[in-house]
Amino acid sequence: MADALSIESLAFRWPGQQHNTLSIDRLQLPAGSSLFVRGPSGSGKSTLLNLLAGVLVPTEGVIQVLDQPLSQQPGKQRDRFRADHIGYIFQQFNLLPYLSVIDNVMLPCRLSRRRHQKALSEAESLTAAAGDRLTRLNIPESLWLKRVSALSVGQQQRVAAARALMGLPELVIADEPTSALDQDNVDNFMDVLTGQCQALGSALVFVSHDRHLARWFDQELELDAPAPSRNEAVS
Amino acid sequence: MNWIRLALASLWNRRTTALLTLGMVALSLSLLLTVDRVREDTRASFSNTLSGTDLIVGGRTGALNLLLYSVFRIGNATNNISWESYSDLSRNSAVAWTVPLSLGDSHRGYRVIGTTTDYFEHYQYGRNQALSFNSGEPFDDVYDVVLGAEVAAVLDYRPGDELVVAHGLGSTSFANHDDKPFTVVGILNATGTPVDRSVHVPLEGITAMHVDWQQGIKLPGLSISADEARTMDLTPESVTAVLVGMKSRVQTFSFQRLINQYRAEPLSAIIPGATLQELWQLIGIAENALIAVSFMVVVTGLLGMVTVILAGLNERRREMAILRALGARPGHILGLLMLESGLYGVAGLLAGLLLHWGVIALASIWVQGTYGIQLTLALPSPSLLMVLAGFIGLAFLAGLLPGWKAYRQSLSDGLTAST
Repeated sequence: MADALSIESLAFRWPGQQHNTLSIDRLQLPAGSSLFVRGPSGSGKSTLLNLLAGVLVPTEGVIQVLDQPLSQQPGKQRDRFRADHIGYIFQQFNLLPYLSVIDNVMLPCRLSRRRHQKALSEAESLTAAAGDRLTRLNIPESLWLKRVSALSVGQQQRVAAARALMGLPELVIADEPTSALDQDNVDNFMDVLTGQCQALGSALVFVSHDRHLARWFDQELELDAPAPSRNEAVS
Repeated sequence: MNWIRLALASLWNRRTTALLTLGMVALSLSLLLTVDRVREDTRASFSNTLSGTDLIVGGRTGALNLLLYSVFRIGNATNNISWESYSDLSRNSAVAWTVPLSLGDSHRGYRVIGTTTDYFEHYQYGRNQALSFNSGEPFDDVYDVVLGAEVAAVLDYRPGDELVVAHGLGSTSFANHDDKPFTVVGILNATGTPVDRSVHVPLEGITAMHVDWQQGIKLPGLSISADEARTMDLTPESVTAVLVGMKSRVQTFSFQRLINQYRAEPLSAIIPGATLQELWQLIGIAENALIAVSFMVVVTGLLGMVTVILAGLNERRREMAILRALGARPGHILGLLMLESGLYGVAGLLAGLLLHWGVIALASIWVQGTYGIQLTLALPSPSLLMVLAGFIGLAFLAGLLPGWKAYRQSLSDGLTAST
């Protein structure tokens, strides 16, 4: 299978700024494998995630996601691509408070026909597919119809992971999803997230400042503190 | 599709604010709807009151005043027409019929009309509908009385009952013609016009009541009983106004000129339709002011709604970021907010219509009784429907403002909204 991600001489600079917020010479992530991106705040982690998700475009260089030159596509296509191929997990507050747990999980399939069809190819119905994801992430069935506010933070993050994995996206991006969790919950979350990404064949890009998490990943990328210096990919 | 469901769920999540906003929009629209309905119904009610009468003749006075006191029982006559002049004009060869009206007395707040039986034959309202009797028949005797539908219903009179007429107008009077009671002989069907609120007696009855009165007070020491009065000459000295039907419509204008130049006495003759137009022009100014105010209230409602959506936007940055992460385009975010704004408009219109109908249903009872104007529960007039369609469009367009802000916000926030 092709690469989930490949980056070539990437640089990003906010308009009006003199220094690059982010620069990466070269990065390659095979399909289905996982990457840990570490760096202190201000090192461009968020920028990288926005670039990978196609919300931002690089100032220089090329980002290919699933062998598609994402960085060279128009905005509308990048948004479509994100809906179809990428699952995204935020640091916190991932879920829409006005939908039930299971409706939140089904949301990606309502916004992407491709993921809707993929979900239906693995289960009888959307609800069944969502139930499968929730079960995989250890959310008991008694919570599925509950409002999001009834869940603990740890449970909410696992629901967010279930949603990210809905409809078999080729790439899952996680933006410090463990920062609000206590240590026990972190281990639990990391186990199920990396385990299920592997089981379902989704590549995972995971950003955190917590170096202890590196052991769950195949590859590691270290971003430096904000300075006009170069970053290097370490594998 | 799914966006509508999302917009609805999101609104439901903010339902206190949403319901208050909806109430604001609904209230502003119901004001516009109600003002317009009252305007339409008032016009209809005025236009329907008199038909088939070519001219109204009275003592020299303003055209509007003559129309108001003779037909709508509003205001008072300043001058009367002498019986000689009345007889003279009714004998004119161009005149088909005349109905004399003598006003000035009342019964428990309802005006008493002295007239002849020609009234029941020639008075027409609406689309040339004649008066008809619910029970009984036209008056025959001097002391007979025929009641309008509302008078009979409210005061619970039946044929055979007796009533006493008060001198002057007003619902309580200290000067009553209680020595000459009248007997109810007929009750008219409802017409939706001031006729319903009128008490009709023969001209002779009016004269009989006043034989022992002078200058509005009962002459002390002089008392003429009802039966004694019968034997006297009860031809009235004057009448207040005369409804005139011409043999041919073509003669209306020349006859009007004739009366306006009448030598023996200063008289006025008006064409009811033309004078009604004058009334509309006068009322039109006030109406337009009311409509303008209603429009401003609707615009204020829209502005309020946009303000509420704008104010809530910051708290919803998370929501927008989540939708963006799931693949929503900035255009989707813009659309979502326009949809929300439009939903306020549509739901506000529906709620406003219901509120308007509720208000009309409740108010119509009181308005009918007090002003004799029948308010109808109906769809808005075609021209107002166009305005309402425009309002819905405007409600969606108003979403452009918060939509544009959210669009900019979601572009700059990307997936990393920190709030």
